[in-house]
Amino acid sequence: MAFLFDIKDTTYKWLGIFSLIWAFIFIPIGIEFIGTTDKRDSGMIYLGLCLPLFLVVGILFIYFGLQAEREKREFEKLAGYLKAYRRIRIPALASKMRLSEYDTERRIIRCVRLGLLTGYIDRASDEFFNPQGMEGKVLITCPNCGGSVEQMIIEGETGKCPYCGSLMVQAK
Amino acid sequence: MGKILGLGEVAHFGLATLFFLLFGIGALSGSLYIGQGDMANAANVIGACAVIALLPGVIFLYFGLKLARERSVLQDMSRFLMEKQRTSLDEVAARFRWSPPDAEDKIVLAINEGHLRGNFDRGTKQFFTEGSQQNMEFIARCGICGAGIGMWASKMAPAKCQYCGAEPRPGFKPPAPPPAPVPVLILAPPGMPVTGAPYQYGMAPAAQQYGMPSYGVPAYGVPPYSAPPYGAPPYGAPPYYPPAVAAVPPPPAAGPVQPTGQGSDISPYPQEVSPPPPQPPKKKRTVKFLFFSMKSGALKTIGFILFSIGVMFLLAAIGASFTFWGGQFFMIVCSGVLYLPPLLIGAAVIVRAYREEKYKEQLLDIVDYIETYRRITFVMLARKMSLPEDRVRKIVSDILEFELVEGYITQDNSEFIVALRKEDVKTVRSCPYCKNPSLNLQIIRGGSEKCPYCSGVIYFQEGS
Repeated sequence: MAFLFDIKDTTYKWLGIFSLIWAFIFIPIGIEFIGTTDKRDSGMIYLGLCLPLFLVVGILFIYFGLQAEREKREFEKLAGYLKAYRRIRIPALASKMRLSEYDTERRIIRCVRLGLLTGYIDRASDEFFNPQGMEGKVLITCPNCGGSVEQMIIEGETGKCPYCGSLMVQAK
Repeated sequence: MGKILGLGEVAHFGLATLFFLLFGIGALSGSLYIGQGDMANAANVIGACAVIALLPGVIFLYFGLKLARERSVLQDMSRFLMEKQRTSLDEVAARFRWSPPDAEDKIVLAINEGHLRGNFDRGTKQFFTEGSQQNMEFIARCGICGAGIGMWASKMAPAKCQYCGAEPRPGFKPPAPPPAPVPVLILAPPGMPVTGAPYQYGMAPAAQQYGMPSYGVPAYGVPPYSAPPYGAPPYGAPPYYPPAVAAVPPPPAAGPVQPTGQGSDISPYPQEVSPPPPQPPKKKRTVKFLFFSMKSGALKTIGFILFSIGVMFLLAAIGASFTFWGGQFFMIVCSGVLYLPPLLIGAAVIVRAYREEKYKEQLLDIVDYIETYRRITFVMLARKMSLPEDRVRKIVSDILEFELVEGYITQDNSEFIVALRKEDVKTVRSCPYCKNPSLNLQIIRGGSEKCPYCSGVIYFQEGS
């Protein structure tokens, strides 16, 4: 399924290009024939066949190919964000992707199905996390102000107290 | 459309060259007509070549150049990030004159393209490269003025407190750079046939690696040392000094370096060796489900066949109505017997097939939701799928029947939980925030649950 998704845009574009090449070959011939007196009928047939069969179909294929490419890029970008962040809140991801939260979540689900990424969604914190983002240390209280902080900090990350703004890392 | 036809930049340049060659050949052929004075044909040939060969060539060249430029920018940025090891998005944005969101997008693109490996830090909005953690340490407070600076600094380079301007780590000394190798004489090892010069030149590490006193000068050749006598091993070198790789001591095993910064101990729980994270379930499809999947396809095929038969009869009837006497009557009779039933039945079967297809999509979507959430209420599923709850329950029962997900519905019939390993589920009896001892929350590894009393988010934690 992921393979089919991967080659979808390229396949459409190749089919479009092939159709357009045939159109570019046959349409001038048809026009040339129409200009003559003895081959006018052949020219009409050429044009009648080529315009809908090759030109329109080719343009449609290219259009679908571009649509599929845009979709693929969007999915890859989403998967890239999720891999790079390891653990990210869906509203934050939605703002980065310039999508609604609902659409972002649907796309995450689709990415998981396509095998572009692996991970889970935590319903309480509304975060998506991959297996790397699973193992972190939980920050309960801020060592600076003593405020209760609910954060999971993954290795290499810095936690931020929402009250005093002080930064802290996970202790080894 | 940065990458047309899914090809790389080299392929784009190759295709552009090919099309330009084609155009060149065409133009040459056209010029032969010019020689014969047939200007019309020459114009036709050259014009056709321009459309067929020159235009695609220019398009391929344009996209090839664009791809090459994009790749070059990504490589530059990746080099910059790898040198810095840990950089804020603002710094990347300022360096390359992008906006911070654009810089973030480019970093993600570079990761996707394989130029870069690393992760974002959500707290500081920085990007750090993979493995850079071993060279960085977190400084929570300035050791001089006591200000909470909360910064990451290289263990090798001095840092600067943003408040007092001093080095925040008292007594910090940047480690000395590794000593530069010096030229030494290397003798041929015993047994090695000496065909030319009796010795060869090589590079030896500096003296202190061999426990000799270091005066900040090369091992020998300058005072206080003098060159060893002919045939003797060089000072500081082991007796046998084989050339090339054997002379290089093996690098120390790279183990995790404990950060020595003043980061606070934030975990109230004892450290435990955690089991490996659970692998996502493999997509399995039972025979029952395969038959179910094929149902929509089969229905579609049958529907299209019936519909096509109906259309053929309809066309035959229309043709008949124009060809022989009484055709109009024949068409009316046939409409009820020949083409109408297959048309109607075919259309109905096609509609049914699309409904089945839609149901299958919904079923697979719910499977993905369940596997991604691992624990989800029917209400939540219904909201996410924009479906009535009863329908969601029906789909979930079908999912269980097709054995697409291993799991169970809770006793109160409100949520679905996938089957998990015992060590991946923890039961929390007391809230760490409000200390309420009457909790009974089950938390799945990596996830969290909200305390029903104080709404504090309680994360899964080893040892809790």
